[in-house]
Amino acid sequence: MQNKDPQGDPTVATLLTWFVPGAGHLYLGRPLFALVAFLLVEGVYLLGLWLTDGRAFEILPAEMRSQFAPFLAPELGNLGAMLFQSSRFGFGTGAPSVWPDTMNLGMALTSFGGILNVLLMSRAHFDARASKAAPGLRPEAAALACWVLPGLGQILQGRRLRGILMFVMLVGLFAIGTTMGEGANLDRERHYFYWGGQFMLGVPALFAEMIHGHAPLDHEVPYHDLAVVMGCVAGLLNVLVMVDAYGWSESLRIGRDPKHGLTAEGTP
Amino acid sequence: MKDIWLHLFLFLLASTAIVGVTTMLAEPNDAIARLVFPRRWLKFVLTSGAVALVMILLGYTLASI
Repeated sequence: MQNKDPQGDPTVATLLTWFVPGAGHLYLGRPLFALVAFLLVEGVYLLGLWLTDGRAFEILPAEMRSQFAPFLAPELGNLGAMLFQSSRFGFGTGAPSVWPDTMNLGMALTSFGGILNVLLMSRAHFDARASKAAPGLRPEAAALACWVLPGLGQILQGRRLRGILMFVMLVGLFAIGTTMGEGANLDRERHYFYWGGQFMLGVPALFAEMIHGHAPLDHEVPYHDLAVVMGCVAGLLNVLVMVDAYGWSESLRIGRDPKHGLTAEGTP
Repeated sequence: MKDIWLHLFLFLLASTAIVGVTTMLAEPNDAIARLVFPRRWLKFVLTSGAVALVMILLGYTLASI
């Protein structure tokens, strides 16, 4: 099923997409897809930028600011837009002012814009290698499903037990940590970098943040650190869950046995 | 040693998730993943325990004030 006549270099297509969403597909000779992808990814990012007044990096505490601090945020997935945001808005003017009411929603959108572009990069890489692929769930769609709900990608692939186990382990880890820490981890302003890891857990983390709100810490929370670490670990582990779902669908679409994993015998 | 049993329980919980997900990533075949999980989990827990032991010993000796 692999394409014998590749349209372009997968690495070039991936890097182009990283800088400008859709550019990789333009390079691969698919201008319409490139335009739609550009509008979608940049639309989500710019909406977030508008809702935050471009102040998403301003919430970083002064002592943690550096030229490379924004590179440790989920926005990094959309490098061009992130560099635009950094150069245009940076860490703000320094004058104290109230955050916009839509600050948290906006930051979730700019971060999601980064995730979307990473998935688009993976699609550009796949399309450059195998444009004539077998039908079935696309690899990046399976990965996105895992971001929406950990394990959902595996369930859609027919691997129900695996998907359910992944969901229970990761959402359980996150829920226990968050409960014991009284939700202290659910705030990007309080834990900028850890929030970035936790964001990878996807919708469950955002939903918890939405229903819990962003209450000020007016008392000592004994398990504050535990909540931060467990939330972040759950999010980072979900990246592996996304990779697992991606790899399975990719193998099926290019005609390989998906059960030949990273360590199994016969791996090409 | 505050709340040692609670911390141990939470560690075992987190280690189950860490080893479970990494095992599933390494072994796409569910049957093989099920087989290798207990050994990988035990290895992770014992190795982490050894590291913790060294840190505690250092805390009471070289790094003690």
